[in-house]
Amino acid sequence: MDTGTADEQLMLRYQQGEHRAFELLYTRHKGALYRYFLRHCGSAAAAEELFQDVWVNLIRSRERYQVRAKFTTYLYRMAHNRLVDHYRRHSRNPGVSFDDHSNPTIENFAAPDREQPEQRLVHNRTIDKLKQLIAALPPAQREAFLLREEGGLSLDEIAEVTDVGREAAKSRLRYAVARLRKGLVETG
Amino acid sequence: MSKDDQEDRELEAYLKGDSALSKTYQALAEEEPSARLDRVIMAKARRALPRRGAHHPFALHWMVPVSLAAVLLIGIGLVSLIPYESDVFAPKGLSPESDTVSPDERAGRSAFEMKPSTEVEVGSERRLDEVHDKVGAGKQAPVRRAAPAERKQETRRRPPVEDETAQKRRGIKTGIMEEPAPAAMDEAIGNKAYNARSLDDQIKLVRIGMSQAEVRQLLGEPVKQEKMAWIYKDVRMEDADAPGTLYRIYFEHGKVHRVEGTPAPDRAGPKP
Repeated sequence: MDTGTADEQLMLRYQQGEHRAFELLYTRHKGALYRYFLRHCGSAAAAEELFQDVWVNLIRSRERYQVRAKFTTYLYRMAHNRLVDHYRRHSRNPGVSFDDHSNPTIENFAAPDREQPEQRLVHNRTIDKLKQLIAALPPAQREAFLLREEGGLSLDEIAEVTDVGREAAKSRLRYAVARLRKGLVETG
Repeated sequence: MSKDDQEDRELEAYLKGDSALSKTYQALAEEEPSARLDRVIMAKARRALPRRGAHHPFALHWMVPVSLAAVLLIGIGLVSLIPYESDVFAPKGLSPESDTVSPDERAGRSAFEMKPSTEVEVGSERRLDEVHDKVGAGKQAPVRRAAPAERKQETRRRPPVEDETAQKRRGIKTGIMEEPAPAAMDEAIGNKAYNARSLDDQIKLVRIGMSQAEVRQLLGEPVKQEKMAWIYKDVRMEDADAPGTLYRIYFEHGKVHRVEGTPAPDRAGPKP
């Protein structure tokens, strides 16, 4: 199978029963989607749970799939919805919302567990700092940054996935980039 | 330059994809889901697909209704075949295996009724005993039919009717009959034959397809046997001079084919 086949075509082939198309689709997006959840949750176990849920939902919705947008937008829309649901269920502060007015702290949305073995293997100090900075971002800004970095989405696509206007998505991403740059400079 | 302007420029540079921030992030973006999780998801994706060789959803949808319809059709077919394969439901007196049975026979009419002879009158009361008188008092008739009194005694000596019927049904084994008589014949022979008062009555009980043994059982021995027919003579008890009636029963392949009645010659019965 042509590795350059568009994601949408692969999804349609899987819809018609071609398992190999799903394998290719999964291989292309599994890492980015996993890291999207990992950066948000800070826990590999939670990230895997959400990650699996999204793929299972995709498998179940196979027959209803229609090409209305980029597959990546479709996939991260499902991931966003699952993440919002996860925050609602596990937030220790019921008042915390996934919007620009919330002021979540690191305590509310835990930073990556520094006790995780894979975390100890990070030998680059800058990279370690960047992870902490990302974890410290407000959820909406963090999501905008991760959708851009992991999903490769444009501003319009970020706005579509997060169900906000383009300017709101741009503002979130601008603040996220500014905070991260400032944090790295201060570290460096 | 304001702070917002600076952030806008940083954002534009970042969106172009060659910012230091993106390069730094991509350097740490190396985490992957576990191989176990990969296998789990792949298995779920494979199980969600229809199995190879599995029935198409359309076939699955119609499998049950089509099966029910097939069973229903087969059942109706079997039920409709039952009357033709068993004589349980056949009209009495019909031999279902006979291909030569005419509609008249299917209606259960007697052989005599099928061939209404213009030469004879069938309705008059006659006594079989007069056969002796017609044939000749001093002569030994080929087969003498018993007088009423004698016949009464003879009837007493006969085994029960049911035994005779059973015996006829065993005819294939004993050789008495070529084949079992239909139920209507049994009934006619068993219940009516010995109660009939005259040959005229008895002759009406003869049916197309009766064997010679059954005719003999019903009417007794004929006064004369020809190659293809047996002759029975009936006379009036009350009027010995009456000409009487000659009945001729024709056989084909040992089975009754037709019956004719003609006036007998005056005082000159057929010789044995």
